[in-house]
Amino acid sequence: MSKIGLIIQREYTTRVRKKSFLVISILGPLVFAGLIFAPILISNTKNENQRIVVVDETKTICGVLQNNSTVHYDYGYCNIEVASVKKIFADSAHVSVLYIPKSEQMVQVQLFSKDDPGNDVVSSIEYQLNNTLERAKMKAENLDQAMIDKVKSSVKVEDNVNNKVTNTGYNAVLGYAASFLIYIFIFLYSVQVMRGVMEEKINRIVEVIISSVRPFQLMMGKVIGVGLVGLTQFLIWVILGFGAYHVGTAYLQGEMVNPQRAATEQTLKKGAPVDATNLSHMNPQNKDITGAMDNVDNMLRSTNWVLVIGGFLFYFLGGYILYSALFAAVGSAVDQETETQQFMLPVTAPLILSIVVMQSIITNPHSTIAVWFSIIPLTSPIAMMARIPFGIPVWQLALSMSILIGTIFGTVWLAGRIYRVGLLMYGKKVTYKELGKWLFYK
Amino acid sequence: MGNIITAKNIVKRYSKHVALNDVSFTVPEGVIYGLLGPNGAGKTSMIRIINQITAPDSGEVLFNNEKLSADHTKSIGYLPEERGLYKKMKVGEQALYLARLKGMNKADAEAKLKAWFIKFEMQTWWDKKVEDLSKGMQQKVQFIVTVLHEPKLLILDEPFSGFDPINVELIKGELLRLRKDGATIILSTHNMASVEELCNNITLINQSKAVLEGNVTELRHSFKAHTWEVKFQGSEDAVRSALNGKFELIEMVPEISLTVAKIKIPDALNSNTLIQTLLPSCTILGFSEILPSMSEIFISAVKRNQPIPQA
Repeated sequence: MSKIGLIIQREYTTRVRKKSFLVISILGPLVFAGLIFAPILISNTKNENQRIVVVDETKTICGVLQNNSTVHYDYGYCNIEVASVKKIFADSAHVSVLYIPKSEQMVQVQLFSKDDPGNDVVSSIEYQLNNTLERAKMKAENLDQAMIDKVKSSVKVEDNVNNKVTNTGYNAVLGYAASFLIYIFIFLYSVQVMRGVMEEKINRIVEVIISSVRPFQLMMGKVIGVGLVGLTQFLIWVILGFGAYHVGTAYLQGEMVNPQRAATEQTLKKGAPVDATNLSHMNPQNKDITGAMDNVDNMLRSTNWVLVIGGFLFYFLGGYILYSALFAAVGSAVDQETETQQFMLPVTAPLILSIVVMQSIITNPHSTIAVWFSIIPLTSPIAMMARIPFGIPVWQLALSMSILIGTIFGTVWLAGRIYRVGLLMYGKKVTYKELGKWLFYK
Repeated sequence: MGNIITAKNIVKRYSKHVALNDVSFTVPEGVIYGLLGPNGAGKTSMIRIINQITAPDSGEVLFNNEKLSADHTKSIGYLPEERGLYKKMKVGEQALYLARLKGMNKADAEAKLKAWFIKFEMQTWWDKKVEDLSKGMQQKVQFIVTVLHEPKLLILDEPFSGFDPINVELIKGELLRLRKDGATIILSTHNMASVEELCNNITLINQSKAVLEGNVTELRHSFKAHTWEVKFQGSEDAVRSALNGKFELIEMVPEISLTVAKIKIPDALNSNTLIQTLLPSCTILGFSEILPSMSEIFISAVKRNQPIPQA
């Protein structure tokens, strides 16, 4: 094996074998999946049977609200005074008192319960009450059902860019996520390169090693080795994340099918006709989830994945090599972790700046600032990645990529010059002027 | 035998000072060569140039009469003064890694390492982390890693620092054995006793310049002050009066049943005249010439080269 190969192998295996690598690899996607699914799961957890005791002063709702798998409406107390009903059920768990006071508009309805019945129940009640009230009002205005259905409209804007259906909001999420990932990875792994360089310098093993290999080989071996660790980590995240997404959606779909089937069975038992509209009234949120998933599916299809993934890998690796070489030079120039501060700031500034500007790039991906940031090499990995999902002119992409490649070569050369001198400099604080002189040492 | 290292007019400048100013010397093959000098004289800069860690600003180094190149790194073993190992890495794994960086193949390196581990009685260390070893133990590992690939040229910078006396003897024994097997060793040290004991040749670097070069025995003879040590039995006063005027008595120390005198012979006379002068006055038990120690040579050479302070 070549010397640089040996170095890459050591950098890679010592890091991948660490416990922290395993922990981050497994916890990473779990945290992501958790962030995505937790809100949905939380709203779906109130599954205990709820009894809603209806007190109806308007005499219009009694018997109208439909039961579903978990909610059972009790109309036995419709005409009793609300205070005494409340008293009866004050200490009962899973029982709520729905109080509909006498009022023309029926705007203020109250739900009393010992424990929170959950969002589903509340929104189901609201949805059904609104529906009932609407129908009643329309009926009063002599509008028949057929007419109402005809009048109802549902407008959706279909976004066509270059004759392809796309979704701006979704592109923003994709651009944001991809460039944020690049940002995180550059930071995480460039700092690891810096730490590794400092470890070798402070341990004083470096002089032994560079008597066998050239400092440049050692630096590049480290950069590549750590980069491969990053790629491995990313691959594990993708696989686990994909798995978690599928398990999550399968679970949610199961959740949605069940209440409908249960409700249907219940209605059948009662001998009432199964009405499709009734079914969809049961749990309006289910309809949202199904719709959202269809949307996600459509959006996934609308994306140019070859470009997005290719761009991601290019800017991920390009940005990483650029910054890790700079971080390696910083690591070689100092003796102590605390001394890294003075050199870290100028190196990390463009990185942080690009994440700050990313918000504006995503809202307006073709603005002047967005274009410039995605062409300037130190900000382009993050800025360009944020724009790629929106579709960008080929010349901009080509320009940005070739400038980045050129800058990588220049920076790696520069970093190598500093690195080879810095490694053997101990005990004095280094100034920028000195770093400049190192470039010209033989 | 030829010269393994020929350094010609080496100049190395850093931003604020000149580390090596026109330094030339040759290291013959098969010797232990001392590279001496006070702290900051430029020894480490010279060693780094031979190891191709840095390049000279001008001048050149020849290895076996070839211009130094990357190919030569596998023929050189280097133990730097400030040395360390990866703390979290296991001993065996790390030694293998460093050996393979020197161009050894894995199987060969492993077999030779195992043999060295047995020789130094450290078989149980193989799977230990370096941070769990004592400093002396780490030094042993570093020494093994330096010599494992059987380099033609070994460069050791203060190799004995950090070792206890038992291990110092162990390492000295190994160095002498390596020389016998044909290796050349460049030893940079402040320990003058070990220079006298081990080194055949030296170069003394002071203030960026090579100020003294040569064979250790020849140097000691050339620096000698024509002083002799005489052990005798008899009257001290009789000896004193016999010497009077002709020889310089440096000191006279009475010991149990004999007296030891140090006497300087002036240039016009020799040891035989001293014996003839002493014979009538005492019984001579021992007579030997005092050669200067390397330490004395070092100090006098450094002082001689000291710039004269400006008034």
